[in-house]
Amino acid sequence: MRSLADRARVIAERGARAVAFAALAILFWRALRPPPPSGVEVAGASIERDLARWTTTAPAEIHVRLDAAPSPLVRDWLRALSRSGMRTHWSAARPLRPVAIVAEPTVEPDGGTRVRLASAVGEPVSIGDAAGLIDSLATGGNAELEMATVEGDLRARGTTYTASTIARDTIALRPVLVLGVAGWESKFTIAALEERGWRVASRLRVAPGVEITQGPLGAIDTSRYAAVVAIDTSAASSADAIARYARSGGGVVLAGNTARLASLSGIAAGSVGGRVPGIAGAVASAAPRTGLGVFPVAAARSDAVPLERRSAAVTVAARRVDAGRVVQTGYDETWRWRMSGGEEAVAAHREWWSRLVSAVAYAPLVRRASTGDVAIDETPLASLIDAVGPATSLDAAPRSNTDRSRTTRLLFAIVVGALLLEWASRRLRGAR
Amino acid sequence: MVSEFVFATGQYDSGDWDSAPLVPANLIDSMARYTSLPVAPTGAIVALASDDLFRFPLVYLTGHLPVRFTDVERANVRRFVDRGGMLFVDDHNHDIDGAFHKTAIDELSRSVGALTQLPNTHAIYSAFFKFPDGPPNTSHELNGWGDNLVHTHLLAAMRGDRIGVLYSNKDYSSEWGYHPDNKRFLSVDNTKFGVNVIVYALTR
Amino acid sequence: MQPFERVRRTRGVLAAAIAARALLWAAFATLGVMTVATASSRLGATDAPTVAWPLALMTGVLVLGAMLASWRRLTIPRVALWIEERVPRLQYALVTAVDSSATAAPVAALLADRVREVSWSAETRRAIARSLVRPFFAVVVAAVALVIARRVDVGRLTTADRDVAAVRAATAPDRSSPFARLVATIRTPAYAGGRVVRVESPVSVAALVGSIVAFEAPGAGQDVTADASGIAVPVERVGDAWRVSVTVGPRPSLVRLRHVTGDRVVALEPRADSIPTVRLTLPARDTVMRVARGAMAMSAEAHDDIGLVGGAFEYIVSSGEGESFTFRSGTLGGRTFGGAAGGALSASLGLDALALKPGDLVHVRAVARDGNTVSGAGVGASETRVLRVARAGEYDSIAVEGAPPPEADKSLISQRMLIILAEALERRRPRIGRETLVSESRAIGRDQTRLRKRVGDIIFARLGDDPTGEHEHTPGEPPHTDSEPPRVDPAAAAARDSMRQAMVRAGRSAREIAAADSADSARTELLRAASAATGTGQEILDFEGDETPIVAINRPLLEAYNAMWEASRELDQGETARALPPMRRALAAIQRARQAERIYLRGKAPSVVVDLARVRLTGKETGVANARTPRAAADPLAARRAERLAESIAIASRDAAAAIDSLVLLRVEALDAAPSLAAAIADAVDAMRGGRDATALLARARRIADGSTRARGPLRVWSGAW
Repeated sequence: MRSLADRARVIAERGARAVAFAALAILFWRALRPPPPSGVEVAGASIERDLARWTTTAPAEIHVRLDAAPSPLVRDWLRALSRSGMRTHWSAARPLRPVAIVAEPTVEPDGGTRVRLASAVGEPVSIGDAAGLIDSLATGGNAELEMATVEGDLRARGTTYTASTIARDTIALRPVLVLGVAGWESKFTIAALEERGWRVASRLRVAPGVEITQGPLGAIDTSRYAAVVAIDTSAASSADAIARYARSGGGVVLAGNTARLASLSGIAAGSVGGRVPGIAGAVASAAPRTGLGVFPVAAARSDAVPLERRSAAVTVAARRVDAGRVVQTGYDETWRWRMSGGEEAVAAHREWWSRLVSAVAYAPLVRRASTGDVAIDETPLASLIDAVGPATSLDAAPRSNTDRSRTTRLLFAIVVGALLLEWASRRLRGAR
Repeated sequence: MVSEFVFATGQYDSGDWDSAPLVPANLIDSMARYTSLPVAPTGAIVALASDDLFRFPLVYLTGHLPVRFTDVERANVRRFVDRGGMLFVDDHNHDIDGAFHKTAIDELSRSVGALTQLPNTHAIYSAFFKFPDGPPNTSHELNGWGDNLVHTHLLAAMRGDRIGVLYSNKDYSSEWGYHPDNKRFLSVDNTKFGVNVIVYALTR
Repeated sequence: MQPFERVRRTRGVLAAAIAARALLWAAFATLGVMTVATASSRLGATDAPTVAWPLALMTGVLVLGAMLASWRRLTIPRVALWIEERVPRLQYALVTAVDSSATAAPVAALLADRVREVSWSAETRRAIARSLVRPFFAVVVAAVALVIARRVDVGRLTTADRDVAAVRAATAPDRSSPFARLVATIRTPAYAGGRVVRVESPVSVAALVGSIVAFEAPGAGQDVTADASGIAVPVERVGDAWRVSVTVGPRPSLVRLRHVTGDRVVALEPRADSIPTVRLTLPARDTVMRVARGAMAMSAEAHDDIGLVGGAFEYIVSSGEGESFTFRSGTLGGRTFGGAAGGALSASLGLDALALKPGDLVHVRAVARDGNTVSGAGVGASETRVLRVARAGEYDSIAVEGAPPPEADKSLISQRMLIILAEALERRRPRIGRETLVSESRAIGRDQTRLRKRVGDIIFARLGDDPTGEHEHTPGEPPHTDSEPPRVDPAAAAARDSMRQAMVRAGRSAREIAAADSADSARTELLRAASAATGTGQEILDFEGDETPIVAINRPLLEAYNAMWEASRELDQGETARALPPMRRALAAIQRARQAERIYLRGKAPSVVVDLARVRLTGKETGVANARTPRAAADPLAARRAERLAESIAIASRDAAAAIDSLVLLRVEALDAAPSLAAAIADAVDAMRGGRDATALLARARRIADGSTRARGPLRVWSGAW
């Protein structure tokens, strides 16, 4: 007589057999059922294989689920499929964040590349080139980087995108013309620019009829000079020419109180305020320019862009003048910074003057013949939307093949497991 | 506004740095006579050990007595020249066997590097007035004072192609050490080379 | 329990063991199939086939089924026999007892009793354990193999091996290369002891300038050539080895050993021999004497990094005035050091023997030489002390020599430097602990205090026990006269009474007591003046004992003095941020003091004021326009170094050995001009040679080479600026 336990066991075995048969029946039914005629969704991992298949099988509608912005190849392929009449949808397995990256040459004598990056806040992004990592933003956002050297293409990698670009252009940089009276400011300004690599032409007045000159001297125009630096009011004799030069595209640096000159006041960023002495001893501090005397930019024009301030006063400001750019810097004795500043003063003074000129210099772009075989993808998400339209809601996405194969495997496992369980139980209790 | 040029005399601890008190005024007078550059009407005295040294990118040094820099003076002189300053040193003894010359050369070499002969075609000899034969001779040299030699070259410690230290054995301190009003008695102004030195410092 | 039941229970246990064993073997089979599939896919650089898991599962199921087939043999008699085999003492009682057909009731009872006495649990457990051990370990091995197959890129392993082997070829023994067992023997110059150091498989050699470095390796050295910085070096045959010898010069250089099997590059990093440091301890200060008699004791200490050879005191006697001077010089106290790293000098300069006259100057200093025979003996000298013999009538003359304002002691850090140090410490504040902050802040505070005392010395000039002395006032300030009663407050008066009584008890004279009184009055007056000058409260002034101060009231210096007090106080508490404003005020005040009333120790310098307006452009001659030549760029090679580094990094992914060579070359060239870059490259090369990931190190080197990110910040309205 079977015990209660034995009877329960037999019932369980029969139940397992029933489950196995049920799963087999479902598998058989699924095998007989045809696949949906449209809405095939592709998992991101095998997208290129499926694109190749769709290209030949030409389904009426496709849906792609992405977990990252696709490469330009995939994007262009989707665009081509879409243009061929196939209804193309995409959705994101996780939010795809926008990013944009551009690169352009810096106006520096030793070259360099400026990279501007705009990315969504909240996602870390790393910037690198073929030689490795350059920098990173822990929480994304905007950044402007200047690199002395870049190897290959520049890439900005986030969790859901990789944007790439390349500096396609170079610049033609001409000499800088410095006008002034022979003195410490002109001497050390020219020294700073030359040490930084700029070619400098200069005209320094020593006495009536006696000038110390350097470099190509001629009419002040953009074919000859990238920028003109007026150190002091001795530039009055060339003021008209400087103003014309600025309006025609040249870059002008007005130092000290040169903006008071009649012709130059019309192109300056503002008028010249009363001279403010520097803070004694501060030239050797962490804010060295606070130790310099300055003619602040007073009554700045509406289109002037303040670049530097000291308390409420604007000490450096820039503006566009027709085709050119002008920067007005009120400092008239920056040489004191170089001589009396801290350990890094010489290099910092040099760099400051170089940037001042670089901010306005006329440097026409020269486009390179080709970018080689580097793929440029400056705005991955925007390009995707441009190619195939905005994302489709995930809810509307049809069942995926991935789901089907997963269900099949699950049912198979149920069949095997149930049969094994039944068999093992029978053998353990001695039945056949 | 152009900051005016201030003629600075360097004061050092060990010797008679102030042995030529009229040289500054004389050279200031010459700068005003020949150039239109803004110049301070009086000179300044600046200690080599002081941070004020860096307010005067051209400093004149002279004396008769031994020159022995302190550690601070040496460090300051080195930093001064490295940053773009220029020292003009003149042996007031006009004696290459004298204590000033020997010790000054030793100290300057230790501070800024070896002093080498400056070619007489250097740009300083045409920086304002032309001196085709190099440094002009002084009456003290020609009269046999000191070492009884006429030194044909100046010495210099260079920073790239720029003079960092200009050293003279020719006793310009004596040559220029007179009240500027007395220039009217001279047929030829013997301070013109001093103008060259200053203009060179202001423009190179 | 009846024997039958016991056997049935044992049968159940054995069935479970069989099932477990079957499961383990099935798991092994499954994992084995997955491992093979994964490895195959990696080798073929394809994704693991999707049928891999179902195939593995099927295999496992088949194995399970096959292994479970032995369940059929688990009948009661078979189990009883199995037990009998392992427990002989049953003597077949169990088998008989379970055979119910062959056993009568009384015998069954006897057999049951017999069986009851015997236990076979232990034998059963042992047998089960033995049967499970092997399949268990098999499963473990299969699992590990699967993990390895999934993690390690087997497909690239073979090619990566080739790459790694190529990098290693530069350093690891390659039996066919003549550089396989390269050894560098470094012999320092004789003056440095001629020590010998051996370095096996050298990558770079750091040695004293003048050292001889011999590169040796076994073999004939056929077809081996060598050059150092492009200059050929002969290869010598020495016994059964070959050798190349080079001398370490003053500049970094590269030794390249070439052979058809490959090159070997070794960097030579010269270490310069420092000159000796000498410190003159006596005389401690410059001295002025009225009459030069007796002897002046001199002592000094000298140190050198390798060894001193000799030292002495040098003196120069300058006599004369105006334009006429004569000089005498000499040495004394010379001694040899025999190569010791340090030593002392002492001597006595007989002033009588020098026959010094009024106006004479004696300059003395100590000099030490090291034994450098390579580039010449390094000579170190101490500071110079000056002994001056006062001229006759000098103290009575009002014709004084001009002097600039007195500076702070040369050994004192300037106020500007203190500000820089305090600002640097303030910037480091977030990264250092409180203790370190306070300790360093107090160090700056001590320097500030020293400077403050020096300023105090200038303000409060001491002239011994003359109670009146001289003092200057700034314009507008009424002079202090003895007839004026001292303006003191009651508390100060009580303190002064107490001090007076103490002095009486101590037996001081009336004059001394009056001097102290006056000192106190002046002190109080000064206190008030200092406070009035600076607008601050009462400050403590540092007078010592009963010295009589002379007040040279200089308002800006007083302000500096007070500001320095405030700064010292904040610095002592580690409050560098609060100390900076008074420090800057002090500096500004010092600057103003220099431009205001000047305090001369020796009087005012004569000055001629040029009438610029009168003489402007009156020169008879005019200058000549001339041309200026441009300056060279500050470091024209820096950009090129950065480019080469970027190129080397790009090569590294294709050819590690070539990249390493390129980096070693770049490192040697950067040793002088960019030592931090050279050090960063060295770290990266070490990592690459060791087969480690050098990505981060190369990125760091790149940042140093070109400040790779020159500027960084948010998007700017006006780009190109800062």
